[in-house]
Amino acid sequence: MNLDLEPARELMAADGIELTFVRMEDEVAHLSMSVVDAECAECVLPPEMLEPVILDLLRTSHPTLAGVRIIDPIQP
Amino acid sequence: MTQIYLPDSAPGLEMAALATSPGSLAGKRIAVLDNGKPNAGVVMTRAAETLAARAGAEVSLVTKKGPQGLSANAAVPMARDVLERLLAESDLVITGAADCGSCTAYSVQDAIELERAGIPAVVVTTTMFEPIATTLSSNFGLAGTRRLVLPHPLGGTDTPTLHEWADAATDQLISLFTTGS
Repeated sequence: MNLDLEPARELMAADGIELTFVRMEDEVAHLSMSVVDAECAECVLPPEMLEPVILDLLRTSHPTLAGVRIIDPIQP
Repeated sequence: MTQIYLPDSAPGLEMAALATSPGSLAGKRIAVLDNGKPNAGVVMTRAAETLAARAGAEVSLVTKKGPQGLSANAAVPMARDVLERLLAESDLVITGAADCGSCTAYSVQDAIELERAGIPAVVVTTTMFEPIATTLSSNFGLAGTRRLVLPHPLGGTDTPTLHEWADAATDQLISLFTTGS
């Protein structure tokens, strides 16, 4: 697997969020996000808006990626 | 074998188009829609003033996006009364700053709503958040939103530098408003 998380991690870091790879399942990348700087809690996009953005970024290194699922610690 | 198709499905995305771009900005009224992010008002107001001086336009309104333009939460759409005021008092809008995740989403959404209503609107974003602005523009139904990309970050950057960035963006703003790109 050649999944370069760096562009997505850099983008999320700007909102104080750390993005971590959890697993790949059926070409869907499961990622976890955690808050490292809560200065602007409302700045972070909800997962349903964030997932297509991250997918676009990750597809540059992994064109066959079918989807992204983000595990948000804030939401159940 | 008979195949039966269900005629119901989730509603599709409502696509939007850019408002008609004016051939010239002379005499146009430019508004600034400020979401309250640090330095958003500073850089956008300067950009509007420089653009107006250059193009023979005027800055007719600078407003925050909350009710009555008195406050701003960057993570919500613009208030209805602010939209009505923009429609009544401006011909062009500069909105932003799209320099965090949620404020990019709602700045893009505001710009699309203005474009749908016939007002050309430029979203001011930064190099860091351009990917979000690009993807969400497409996801919200208008891939070709007018986007001005400034260096990142706006917050924490000194005013003379922000003014330099705003002044340097004038040619691009003219192009965005008159051609859409």
